[in-house]
Amino acid sequence: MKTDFILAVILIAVGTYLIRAVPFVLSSKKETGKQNRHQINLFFKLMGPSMIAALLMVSVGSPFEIEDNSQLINTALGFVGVGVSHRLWNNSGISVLAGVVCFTAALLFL
Amino acid sequence: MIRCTAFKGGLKSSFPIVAGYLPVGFAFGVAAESVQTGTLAAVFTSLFIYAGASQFALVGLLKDGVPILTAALITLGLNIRHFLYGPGLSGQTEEFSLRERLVAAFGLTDEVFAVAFSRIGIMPHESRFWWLMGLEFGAYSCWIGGTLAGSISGDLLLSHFSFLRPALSFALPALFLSLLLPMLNSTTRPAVMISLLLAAAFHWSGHSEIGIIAAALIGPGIGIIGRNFQ
Repeated sequence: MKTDFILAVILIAVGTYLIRAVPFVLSSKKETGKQNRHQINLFFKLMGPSMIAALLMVSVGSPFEIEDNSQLINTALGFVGVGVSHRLWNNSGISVLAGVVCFTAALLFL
Repeated sequence: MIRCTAFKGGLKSSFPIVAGYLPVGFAFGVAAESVQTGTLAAVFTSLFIYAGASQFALVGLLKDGVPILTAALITLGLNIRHFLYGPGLSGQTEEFSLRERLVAAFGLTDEVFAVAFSRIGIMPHESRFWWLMGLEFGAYSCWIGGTLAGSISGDLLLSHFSFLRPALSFALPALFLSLLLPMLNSTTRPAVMISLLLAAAFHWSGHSEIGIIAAALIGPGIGIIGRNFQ
C-alpha cells in the first residue's frame, strides 16, 4: 500500500468518526437556537442526497465520451434494473446486484 | 446476562442490514480490486472508514485520477450527512455514558441508524447500549467479510470472466442510484435536480471534483430557499 493512500484513509476515517461522534456526544446536552438548528439540520438533510446525486452523475461518465450507443442502452437498462428492484424490495444491496445483472445481460446479449 | 441477551437481540436485528451489506461489501471488494488497490488496502479501507458510498467514491475518484487529498476531502464531505445520526438517536439514548457514546458512534452508518432509530425505543433502557453494539457488530463484520470475499474472489472472477470487468464498473452508479432513490421526496427533489444539473455541467467540462462540491453546497442552499418561499 502506498503511504499517501494510507494517510488518506486515516484522514477520512478520523474525519468520519468525528462527524459521527461529536454531535452524538454534544446532543446529550440541551441545545439553544432551535430556529437556526432547524435550518442547519435541513441543510445537512439535503446535502446527503445532493452529493449522492452528483456522485451518480460523475460515476456514469460523460455522454460526449461514449463511442458506441450500446453503452448508453446498457447503462439505461442497468438503471431500470435498480429502479424496478428498489420498487419491489427496497433493499440497496439487492438493487445494486439487480442493476449489475441487467447491465451485464445487456452487455452480453444486445 | 442482560448484556448477552441484548447483544444477541441486536445481532438478530442486524440481519436485514446483513442482506444489504454483503453484496455491496462484495461489490466494493471487487471494485477496489479492479483499480488495483489490493486486498489489504480494500480491507484496510473497510475496517477504518466503514462508510459504503464514500468508500466507492474514494475508489472511483482515484480511478479517475483525482489527487488523493481532493479525493479524501470529497469523500469526507459525503459523510457529512452522518452528522445528524447521533442527535437523531439522542432522545432514546439519554442514559448512555460518554464512553458508550464514543464507542457507539463508530458504527452509526445509514442503515444502522435507520434500524436503530426504528427499534431501539422498544428496548428496555438498561439493554439499549448492548443491543446497539450487537446491531453494529453484525453490520460491521459482514461489511468486512463482504469486502474480503469480493477482493479475493473478485480477482479470480475477473481473470476468468473478463466481461465482468465493465459489468462490475456499473456497481458504482448502481449503488449511488440505489442510495438516492429512497431519499427522494418532495423536500429533497429540488435540491437533487439542481445538484444533478450542476454536477453534469462541471463533469462534462472536465471539472468533476468542483462539480461535486458545488452540488453539495448550492443544491441544498437552493432547496432551503425554495422551501422558505413555499
